[in-house]
Amino acid sequence: MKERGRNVPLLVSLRRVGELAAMSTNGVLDLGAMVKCGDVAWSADVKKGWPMVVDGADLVGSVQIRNKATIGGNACNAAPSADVVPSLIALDARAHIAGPSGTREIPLLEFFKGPGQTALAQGELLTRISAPRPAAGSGGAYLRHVPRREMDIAVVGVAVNLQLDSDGRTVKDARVVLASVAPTPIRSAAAERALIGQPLNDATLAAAGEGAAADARPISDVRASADYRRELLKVYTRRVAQIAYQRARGS
Amino acid sequence: MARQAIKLKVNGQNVEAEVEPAKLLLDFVRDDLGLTGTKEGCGTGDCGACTVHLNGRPVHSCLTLAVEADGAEVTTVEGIAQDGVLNAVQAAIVEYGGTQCGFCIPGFVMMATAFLRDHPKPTEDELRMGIAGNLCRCTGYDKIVRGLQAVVDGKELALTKPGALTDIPLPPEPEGE
Repeated sequence: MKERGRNVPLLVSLRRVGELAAMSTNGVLDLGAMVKCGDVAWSADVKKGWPMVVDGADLVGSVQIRNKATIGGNACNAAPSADVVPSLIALDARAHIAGPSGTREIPLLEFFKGPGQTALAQGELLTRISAPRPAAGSGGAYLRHVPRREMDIAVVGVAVNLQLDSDGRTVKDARVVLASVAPTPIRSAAAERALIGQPLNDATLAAAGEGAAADARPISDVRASADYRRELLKVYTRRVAQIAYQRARGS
Repeated sequence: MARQAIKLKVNGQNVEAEVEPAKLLLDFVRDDLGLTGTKEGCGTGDCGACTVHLNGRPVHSCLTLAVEADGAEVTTVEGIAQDGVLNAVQAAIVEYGGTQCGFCIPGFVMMATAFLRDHPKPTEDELRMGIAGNLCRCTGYDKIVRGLQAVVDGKELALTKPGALTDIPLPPEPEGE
């Protein structure tokens, strides 16, 4: 709009709709669409219960941007590289939508239809994103690859959410979500299969990385070639799974 | 489109105005209030030169509408020095040679002032990440960071003393021609 790419005859501010800016960490994580990335990134409660969400929210733009940018904005912009989104998908988050015909909710994964394209119909808006409290013995993390550390767009991003068996070693359940390697954020079924039921050793991590690279459908663009993105996925899937594992063991 | 009435505090002063709904906070403080310390660099939230505090939080005034500041407290770089005395961030940037052309400095002052208020003892890495949204094309950042590090370390800064800006001795008269 500011760059005059879009002609807007009328703009309605939602700033006074308090419900849209409400955040709750009481049991489930409930993020109103207009909750600011900074409010999530700097929340001790979110960091305690859903640290992987903080990993992503803390990477959006600069401090100034995080004071204005919203969780819903990062989602509705529907960039495959959105840093807030992969962790929430890996936590089985749901998107809550309101429109003229009432409200509905869908898995957050299904909210994304393509670059800049969401499941929102004409007249609908995203009101909030909710994620359950992770099961006992769970841990998750998100990392992205960027040439410079701040104010950059993910070349690849990986979120891993692991639940460990009662032995504290075997992976009971896993979610692996990949960013910037497909038209939307995607789950890697192959990476998840490689992890589930296995102890998290070098062989398992390598297999998970191969699985992520196989499921990715990256493009070559100014930021990286498709082949380089696949190689990065192997490294980052391993790296993120190790952080998730440490967090799960510490939980 | 019809103008909207807004009431806010700017640098501690009550301000009432009528503004176009699409007017940026940046243009409001510069053009309507004459507070031209706030600079427009990129206009797209990349460079940080337009940083002001909105209810104490650093934001880009180029990405904020004036009507969004209705009922809020806004601080611009003009509101940082108190009674003619620089704050530690301002003093340190001057004393450590952190300013060259100076265009980006009001944004650095606003961002660093808020960051060090919220994180008084950052590591150098945390400090650099805190100001990563402020771009400077002259200094290479090193002297800015060294100045801010001096604030973190509690180093004495001559320019924070009352009268430091006004009691500057005049240079000696040139010898007769």
